[in-house]
Amino acid sequence: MLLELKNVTKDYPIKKFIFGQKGRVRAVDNVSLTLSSGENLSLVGESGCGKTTLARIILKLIPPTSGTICFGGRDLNPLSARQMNPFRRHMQMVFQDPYDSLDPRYTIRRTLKEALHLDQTLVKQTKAQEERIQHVLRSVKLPEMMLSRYPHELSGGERQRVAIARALMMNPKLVILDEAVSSLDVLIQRQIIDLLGDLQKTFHLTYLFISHNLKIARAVSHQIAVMYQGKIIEIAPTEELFRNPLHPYTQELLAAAVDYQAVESKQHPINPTGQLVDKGQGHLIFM
Amino acid sequence: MTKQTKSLSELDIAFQGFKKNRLAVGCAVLLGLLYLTAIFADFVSPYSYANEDRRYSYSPPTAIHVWREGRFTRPFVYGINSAFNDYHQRIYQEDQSQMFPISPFVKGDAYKFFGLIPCRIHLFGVAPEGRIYLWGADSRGRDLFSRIFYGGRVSLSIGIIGIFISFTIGLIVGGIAGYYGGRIDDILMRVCEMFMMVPGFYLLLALRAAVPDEFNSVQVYFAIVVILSFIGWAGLARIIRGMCLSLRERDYVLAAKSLGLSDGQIIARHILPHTLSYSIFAIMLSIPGYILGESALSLIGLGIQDPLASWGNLLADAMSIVHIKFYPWILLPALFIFLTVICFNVIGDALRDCLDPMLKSGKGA
Repeated sequence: MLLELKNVTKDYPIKKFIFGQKGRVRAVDNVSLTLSSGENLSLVGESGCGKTTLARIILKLIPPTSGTICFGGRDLNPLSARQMNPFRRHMQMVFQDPYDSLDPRYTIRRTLKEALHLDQTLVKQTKAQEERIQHVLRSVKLPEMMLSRYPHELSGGERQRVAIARALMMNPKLVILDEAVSSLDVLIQRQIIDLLGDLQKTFHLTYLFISHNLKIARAVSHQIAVMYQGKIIEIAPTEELFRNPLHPYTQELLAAAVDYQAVESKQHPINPTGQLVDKGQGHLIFM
Repeated sequence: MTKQTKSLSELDIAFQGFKKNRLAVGCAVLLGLLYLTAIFADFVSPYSYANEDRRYSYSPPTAIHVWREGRFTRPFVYGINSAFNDYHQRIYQEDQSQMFPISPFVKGDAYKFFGLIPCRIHLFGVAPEGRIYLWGADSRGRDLFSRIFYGGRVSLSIGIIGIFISFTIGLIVGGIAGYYGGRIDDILMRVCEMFMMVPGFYLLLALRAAVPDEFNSVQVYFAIVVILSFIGWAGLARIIRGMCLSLRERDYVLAAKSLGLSDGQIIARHILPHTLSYSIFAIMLSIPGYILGESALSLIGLGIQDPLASWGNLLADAMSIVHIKFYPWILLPALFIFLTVICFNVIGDALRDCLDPMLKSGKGA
């Protein structure tokens, strides 16, 4: 098992004017997930449902309120920042906005080089570092002259390739793609998705794909988990989900996204004591 | 058109924009000259700052002649005779029997070049029997021209050193408060506000009063720098903190975190450099504050002490209206303060214009 989340919950406090708390917002509610090597998972859901928060919790960029995250069988929660470093090498993230995820003052070479800093074997070896940079750059199909450029000189697609290259620098096992193609236009999206497929084979990656776009999720993942109000309400193998959506919210989502049907926006009541129930063939539904 | 081969960082682009602003470039050149004259004050000025001759108290600017006995000669000055008028005021007259040619690279008062190499050569001067006062003399017959350049050393350097100290504190405090937020932020910002609450000039006076009397002039100089930066850092820290609060939410900061960079590395590499464009013009706009602060202290006699010169204590002479009426040249140091402050402000404004991304996108650059 590559990654295992157990009952992960994240609350955000709402602060009063000076002291104390008014209350709490539950951004991620009791989420359990497993990811095995090579099996891509897509996390879909509307904006604000907690997808990005969950991704950041997995990377330990923000601490969960409760629950455990196991990577390669090791619980990450009690680890200090320093102890976390060996694990950081193996899980990387590509962010939504390629205009914001690259430091505008860094040349591409410097950005990629910085990503190598955790690799102790390469620390002093400029030549080996350079080779690694060249190799990864070729893998994401960028010309070498890009290295001395600044992000503002690149197009959106090129920047996203650089961001992917940065994530690959340390040979990670898991790459979290947080809406990694949503800000690109359709043709570039296609190219990047094809590229991600190639990279998965050459670098033996596993993707956790976060998206609100069901079509993209279908193209890249083996499994899809649907998130709603911080909970995972349905999880199923990709084709099974598209063939047979069980939860009313998933049905509505599919209707809107795939068939462009007019849907009335309505609230879906969540059973506070509900649980994911197995409906067979790896299809789980929250009820 | 040739294809641009070198990639430009945002700062390079901003600098190109700056070069287009002629007024600002002119100010930068002028400021550069002022700093050069301050650095080479020993060499540029004909006399040392303490070289006095009380026979020439408040001697007016010496006239330079190039015409003698019907033909051009090299520039020279006449000797000066003084007499008292009915009101016991000195009247200075040229003594045409004596003439002193102005020669370049003459030997004069000894000094140490950069404080190391003993040297006697001055850029220009006259034979020791004559006096040349390009911009008049002060009450003790010291050359104002020389003293202004020596004064520039104090007045111009105090801004740079002061801003360096307070900016270092401001960056560290603001960076930490903004990056970590929460309780650390609350505590640090309340401390800042305590400093900002007290009116600056009174705090300046109170702190100056706390400095022991027996300090020599160098110690007083550094005491003033420390006092001025002590007052100045809080405002900077607050602004840097505000910028850091927004910068830490940027994706590239999260990316750096997920790469395993430590907080210190992230603050130093990915957060503070982005406050740079603001910092540069904030520095330019706050340096005049230090120069004026030093001048104000020296003007009321609490700063640099005679015989050392600073633009502030040179102006102390000009506090009496009678002096200004009869010896208007003693106001010249004010012109230098004025020029310096204007230059820093113009450059600061120009930098803000070319570093501000909002304005830049408006121009389509």
